[in-house]
Amino acid sequence: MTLRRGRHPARQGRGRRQDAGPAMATVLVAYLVAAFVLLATVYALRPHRGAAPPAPTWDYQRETVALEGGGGFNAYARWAVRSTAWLTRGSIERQRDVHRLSPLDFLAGEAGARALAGWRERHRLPLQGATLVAAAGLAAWGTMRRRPGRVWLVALLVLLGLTVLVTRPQTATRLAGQAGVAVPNLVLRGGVQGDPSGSVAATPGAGATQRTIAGRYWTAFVGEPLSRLQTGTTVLATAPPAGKAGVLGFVRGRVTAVGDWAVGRRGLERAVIATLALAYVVPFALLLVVLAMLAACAQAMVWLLCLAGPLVAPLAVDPRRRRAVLRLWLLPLAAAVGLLACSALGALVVVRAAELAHAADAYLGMLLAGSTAPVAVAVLVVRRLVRRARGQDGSGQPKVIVARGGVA
Amino acid sequence: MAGKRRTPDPGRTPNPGRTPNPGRNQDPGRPDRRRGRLAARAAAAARGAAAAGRRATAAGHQASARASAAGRLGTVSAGRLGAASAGRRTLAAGRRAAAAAGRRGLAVARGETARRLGRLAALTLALAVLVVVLYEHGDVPSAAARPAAGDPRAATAPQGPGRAATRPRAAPRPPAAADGRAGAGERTVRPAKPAEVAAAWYAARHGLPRNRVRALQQDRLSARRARVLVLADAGKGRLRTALVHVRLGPSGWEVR
Repeated sequence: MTLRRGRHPARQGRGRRQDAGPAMATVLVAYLVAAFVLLATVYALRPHRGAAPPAPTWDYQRETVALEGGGGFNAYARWAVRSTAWLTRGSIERQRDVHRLSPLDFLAGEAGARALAGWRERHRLPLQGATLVAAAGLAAWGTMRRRPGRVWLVALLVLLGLTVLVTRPQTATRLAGQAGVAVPNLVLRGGVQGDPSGSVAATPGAGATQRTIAGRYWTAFVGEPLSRLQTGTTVLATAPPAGKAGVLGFVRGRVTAVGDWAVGRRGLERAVIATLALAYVVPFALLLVVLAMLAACAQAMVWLLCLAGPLVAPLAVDPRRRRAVLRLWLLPLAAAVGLLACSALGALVVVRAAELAHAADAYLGMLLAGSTAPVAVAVLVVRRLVRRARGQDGSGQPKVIVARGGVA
Repeated sequence: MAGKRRTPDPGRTPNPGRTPNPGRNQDPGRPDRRRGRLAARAAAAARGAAAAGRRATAAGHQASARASAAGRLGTVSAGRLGAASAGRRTLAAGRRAAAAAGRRGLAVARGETARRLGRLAALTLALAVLVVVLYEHGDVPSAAARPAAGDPRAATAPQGPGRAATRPRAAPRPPAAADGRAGAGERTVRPAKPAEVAAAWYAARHGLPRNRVRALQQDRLSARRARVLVLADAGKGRLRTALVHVRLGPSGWEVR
């Protein structure tokens, strides 16, 4: 029997990995960092200062966050509730932007495409002539040469892709931007189908669903605390923003206690309520903003990779470059789409979890309203009894075995 | 080949074209004619034996032609026969040369180079058409029918990313429904009409104030396409009209 000495399989595998280039995770992280830096640069430079695509005004945008009353507590409460409203509004609007527009397309893409189209129109004749000459030359090279190979075809397809980008830049950027917006909307539409609350799933369309969810989130974290600060109750929380002033005036005229709250005689209580409201919303708002930033980076990646598609996809015709195209373009594109979908779904889950947690709190508060002391006493008694029972059984105490030389 | 005399083949008649034609020599009383007829038969037999060869057909035609020419020997003089024969040879040679040239041309046309040239011509033509079509139907450089800056619709429209609408809108709003469901009493953004879009686009395209361009007429070509006749006042009495085609896209009516 002859034993052939070969390379160890593990070494072979390692060698292949080294030849294949950087790992997929490295490529993804590098792309994400590049997209983040590019997006931050574009935000900082702000080349586009025009109007954004139209968007309907939602209820939270009509809300007036105002508190009457003087003194330090009232001032602090005013600051705290305004900060709460600002955080909540910011987190909602970041999420709305994710579902509405692709940031890189809006800030730089449209203007760049328009400039490119103008430049093409000004230099149309030489551009068209050069394209025709190059295409004919590549066709002649490919058809008349004797050696096999597809380099000429790759070059020809890249030239055609470049021509498409030059001749239809606005269409290309718009489609790339729509791809980045369609993914979160699809996820939202599919995500609400699995929502336990039927009222959310019943609203047709991604926009209406998002509006419903955002409205509830706003009501829970801003509307209810604001109503408590103004009236001591949540009576104003679900009132339409335009009618809140009228409802408050009506209630103030008839209930004296509400008048005390409204004019700011409960400064300390206001400060406590506002502080707790602010502390409650901070983690959820930060999480939503982080998810929106992640989604914006993913959208920028999708936008860039989609735009690079006409130039990169023809490289797959050449078998030698197919792996690189897959690794550096197609898989990152799929990963960016997946990341976008995950961030949109995560945002939906966070908003719903925040809303449900707040609703559970409110429900518990309603049950315990005026009965907190007996419930607290009962809890303490039960806890003491349980401890005593564990002490009698001895099961609650850890057994200590004393051994010679130490404790085991 | 036609102009050369061949050495006599032992298996065939030395010159079958010059053998007496048996059809012409009908007098049986003359022994020389009989001999000629026998010789013609022998030549025909030899031709039949040689027909298995590659040039049997050509030789047969040649032999029959010569035989017919020889059959006329009795009535035509030797000089006239020589001139006619030379002319026919030249004609046949020309035909053969033309056929050879045609065959060669056909072979070239069926060859690799011709195929490549044809492929090149077809590919170049297709590419040229594609490039010209792409440049002809390229995107318009101006803003594609976006509402102008002074458009009243812009007041209800947009907040850009990063710009929170922190102040409540003073605009009137229809009352909400009694059940308090979200979306009730929503003020929807009025979509731009094709005429407005076309006029705005034309004004932006030609650098005219928006109020100097107005739509005169509108034809609805389909559910998603319309044609608008716009009139532009360029000043100093210059009135220009144009037909603007608008399409209903995902973001409303727009000029493509």
